[in-house]
Amino acid sequence: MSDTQTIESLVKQPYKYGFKTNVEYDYFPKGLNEDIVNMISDIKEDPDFMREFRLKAYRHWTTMRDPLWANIKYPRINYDKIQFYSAPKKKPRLDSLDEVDPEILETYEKLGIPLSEQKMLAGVAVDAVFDSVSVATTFKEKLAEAGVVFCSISEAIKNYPDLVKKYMGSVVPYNDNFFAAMNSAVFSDGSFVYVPKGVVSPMELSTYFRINNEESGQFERTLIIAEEDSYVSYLEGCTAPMFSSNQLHAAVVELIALDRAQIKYSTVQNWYSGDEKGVGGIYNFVTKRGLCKGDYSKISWTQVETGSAITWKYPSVIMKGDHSIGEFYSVAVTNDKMEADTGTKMIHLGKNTNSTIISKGIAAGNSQNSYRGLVKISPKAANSRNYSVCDSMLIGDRCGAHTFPYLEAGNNTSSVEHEATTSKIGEDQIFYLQQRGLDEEDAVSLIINGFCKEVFKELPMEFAVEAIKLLGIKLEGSVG
Amino acid sequence: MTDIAKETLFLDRLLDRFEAAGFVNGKVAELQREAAREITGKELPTTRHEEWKYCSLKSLSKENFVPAQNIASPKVPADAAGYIYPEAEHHHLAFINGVYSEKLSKTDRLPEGVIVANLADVLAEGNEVALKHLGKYAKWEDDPFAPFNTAIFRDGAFIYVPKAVKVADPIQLLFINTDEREQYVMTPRCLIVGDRSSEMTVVEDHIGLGSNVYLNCPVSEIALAENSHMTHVKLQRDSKKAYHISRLAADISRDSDYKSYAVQLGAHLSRSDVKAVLTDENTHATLDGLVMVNGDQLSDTHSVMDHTMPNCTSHQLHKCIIDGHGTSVFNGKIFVRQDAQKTDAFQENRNLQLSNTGMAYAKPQLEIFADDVSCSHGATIGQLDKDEVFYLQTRGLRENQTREILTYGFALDVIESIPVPSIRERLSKEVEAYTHESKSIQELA
Repeated sequence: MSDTQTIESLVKQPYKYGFKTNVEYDYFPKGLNEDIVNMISDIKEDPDFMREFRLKAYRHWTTMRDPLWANIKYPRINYDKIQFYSAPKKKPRLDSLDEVDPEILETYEKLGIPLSEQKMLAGVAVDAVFDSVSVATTFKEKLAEAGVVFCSISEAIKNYPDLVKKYMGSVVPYNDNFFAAMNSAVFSDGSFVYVPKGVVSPMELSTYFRINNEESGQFERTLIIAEEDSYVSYLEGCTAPMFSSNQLHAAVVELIALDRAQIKYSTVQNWYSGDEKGVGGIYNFVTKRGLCKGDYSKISWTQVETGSAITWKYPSVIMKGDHSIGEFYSVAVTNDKMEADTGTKMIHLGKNTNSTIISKGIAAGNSQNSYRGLVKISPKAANSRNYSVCDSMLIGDRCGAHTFPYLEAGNNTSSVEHEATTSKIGEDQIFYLQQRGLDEEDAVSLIINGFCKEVFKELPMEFAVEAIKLLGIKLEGSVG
Repeated sequence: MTDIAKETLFLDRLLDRFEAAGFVNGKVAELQREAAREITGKELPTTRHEEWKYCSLKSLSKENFVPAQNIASPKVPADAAGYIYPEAEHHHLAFINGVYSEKLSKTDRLPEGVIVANLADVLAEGNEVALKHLGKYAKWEDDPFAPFNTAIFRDGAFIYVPKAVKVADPIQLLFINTDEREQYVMTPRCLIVGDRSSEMTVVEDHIGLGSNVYLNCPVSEIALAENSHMTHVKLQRDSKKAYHISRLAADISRDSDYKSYAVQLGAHLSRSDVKAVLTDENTHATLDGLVMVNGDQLSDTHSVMDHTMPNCTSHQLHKCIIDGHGTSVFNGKIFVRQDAQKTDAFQENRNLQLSNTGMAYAKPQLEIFADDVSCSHGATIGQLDKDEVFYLQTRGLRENQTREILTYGFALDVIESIPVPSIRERLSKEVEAYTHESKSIQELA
């Protein structure tokens, strides 16, 4: 079973224990059909319910079409050309850091990632990955002491089938949307977190996702369950090496918070975004949804989106329990030819539910940055509140910033407030900071940090630092 | 296409009932033929269409209508002239069920060169200004209603104000829709052209006299040349069972300014698409609106503010009051094109929910392609301020009275800006009547 964790398309940093480099799936057929789904199920040694889930999803997927409503433009994806499962491949590997594209190295240096980690991220040596595996294992023991289960979803299917059976697909059903259906059929791995009743997770859990293979797609699935009175904070980071072709990433994340439980989910997404001409880059189609199932529960999404050629992502919260809370904090940066259509859905079903949306969009170069959000207050969600702010900043006159908020309210005790502004970095602001001895780039970076402050402060410390640096790199050269 | 299919398509069915309007002018005839071709075989949009997400036309598609002009002697009340605002006493055009009524219209005391006349007559005479502008602006993507009007319209209003002429008093366009047994459909068309440095105020008033079912599908086109100013007030008081589906497009040139105030009170289903295109520098547009729904009314406003050139400003305040099982929908798009640097655009949408059974949908939308701009929008859905209610109650007012006053105050923001005193008065009365009839307010007494 653990063999499958060698999927090259999915390098997970902290929790890759029991890693074995066996099973050489040098060739896995491209395209998607029932045989492929069965093959994946075979490899994963799925129990029957999982196989059925996949097949049901696949059959439904065949009846669906690509969603085209988002404000993004990309050539139609040929799903027959995609390898839906990817295993270790003996392809020319880079042997030392010297062979890595200096552009990547420069980026990593600026990020302050240590050399051993750099090697891993650049896909140079596998041992770096192994190194982090052992690290993850130590964490696992500490977590087990507290009773927190943190493992790969494949392992969870094997070891905790009841939990998986009960919750998988309960927030994002297999037929939810085109990409969720696809993911449900072919998901290769992902992470699973279970926090028992009354437990506060002793540490931040984190996962690093990575796409390594040029022709493959990545389909991971994350399931986090927080039992009553528990708390967990989960971090997710994404990177990918540079390829001239586009890769597909279609993930599903499901969060379930029971009575008084809190889940905090943070993402720093830095998939490869293609070069300045728009060649290559990741197509990022992600379905993320949290269910505040219990009363007084809380789910908070924080995301810093700096990568991907295409971002299609709407982390949502369904507030089913009374007095539950949904939060969404987002910074989305687009540069060059990137296109992002991202936002959130806040569905108020329970009484006295509260949601907050803070979205900051920064568009530079030739990019298009859209916020798309839904706030829905159902007639039964009495005394509910929503507050949304989405601010956009444009850098340069070839980019676009768009806002598509949908507000729906169906009772007379709730209130919804939405505001949005668009602005640019003022010349006088830059001038003022330059007067104080900062160079132009630092001045801009300072202003942008101020612009995004409300979101960064929601991120765990280390992530916030990384996010700020990422932003600087992303926007380098786009001002002045 | 087979006859069976035709029977099922609402627009085809309607088109079939109309004979060609018989415009002698080749250009107009061709425009009409082309519009008819455009919608032949087309189905009505469903709620799966993004622009119709919250507005279902299912009930409309089941209705049958006859052309309004087929009604031989509409029941026009003797006091119909009472609907003329005192300010517009000398220049108003009246239409009964969309058909021009010479008897009720009056166009004297107008400055020289100003034309206020029935559009059908103007087109028949071959007026070059009218021919030049007709059909040029009222264009929406994927929309069957503007072409529907274009295909079959006959009568309507034509207003032309020549260079440097200022028409001080408002010109009223009165549309009286009578209470008939037959369900009728009408497609009045307005074309308003302001030449350079002209000034005018136009009041468009749609009144339903009964509580009958009819379809009112007006289209208005407005073209303002350089440095011209226009104020446009539209009052929709159609029958509570009627369908009102309107289209308005304004084309605004350099240094000009267009202010529109649209008030939607009537109709079972009202849908208005409003578009202002700021085609040159230093222009301004206002698209304000007030919507009040009750019972099972649905009112849907889609606006487009299109900034195409630098240094323009726009302002939008759209307020909705929702009572009973009413539904209000607002979709306000602001486009700022790549060349439109230094744009200053502001939009505010406020929804007041009085009843627990009403629905409010808001979709303010910004699409910005220029970097040196200041654009903002705000949207709220909520209730009266508790502190304000409390304050008035401490002053000895009963709860229903406080809510009446505060609801009136909410609506006043829009009403106050309207420059014609008698309309302000008329609207104040309408709001008062609305709050008096509101069960959500009065049951608190």
